[in-house]
Amino acid sequence: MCGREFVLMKLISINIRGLGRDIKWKYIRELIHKEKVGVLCVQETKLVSMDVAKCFSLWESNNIS
Amino acid sequence: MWDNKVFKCETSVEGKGFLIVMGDYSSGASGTVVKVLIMNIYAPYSNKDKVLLWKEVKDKLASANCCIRCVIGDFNSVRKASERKGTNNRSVNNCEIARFNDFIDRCMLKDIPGVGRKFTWYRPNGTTRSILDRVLCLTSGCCSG
Repeated sequence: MCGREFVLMKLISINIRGLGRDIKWKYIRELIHKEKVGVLCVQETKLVSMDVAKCFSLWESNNIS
Repeated sequence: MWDNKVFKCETSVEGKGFLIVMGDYSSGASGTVVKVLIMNIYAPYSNKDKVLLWKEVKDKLASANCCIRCVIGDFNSVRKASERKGTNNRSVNNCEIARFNDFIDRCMLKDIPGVGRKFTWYRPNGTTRSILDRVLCLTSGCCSG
């Protein structure tokens, strides 16, 4: 709450237990679109590096960090 | 990861078991911008390491100048014995529970209750289930009053 203003934050936190399989990326992508999520926190990706193109695909945009 | 239209990261800090991003969050249609801190937690299994992590989280939260602080993720700890159900009674450690609750209280974090499934972690064979993942929030500072 900021003064009298209402602040709406939409975050996803997901303990994914491995982000190797495409079905998990698809699940997150659908959740982001359904809930119009701005920030995603992932635990236990079991990945050494993130594939940037795959990250872009989550929001279907390259304006993500 | 975030949508740049929604969140603009100013600083980030990485440590053992946590990742912090701080910046401006644009809230929905109203376009209100607030300073937020988002801390993604992946707590270690060992109690000794957890103590160190709780201390570090507390220090980081105290030093940040943000309206909204969210500490979310896998804390690998429960707040009461009933949050850890299973065949292995050794897995319930009262000291660890007390320490975790003390940490949450001292940081003045609000534990946002979950909806849906009662537990956040299930052993694949179904013998054990726990609430290890949570969302803890603190709204304060520049926004109060």
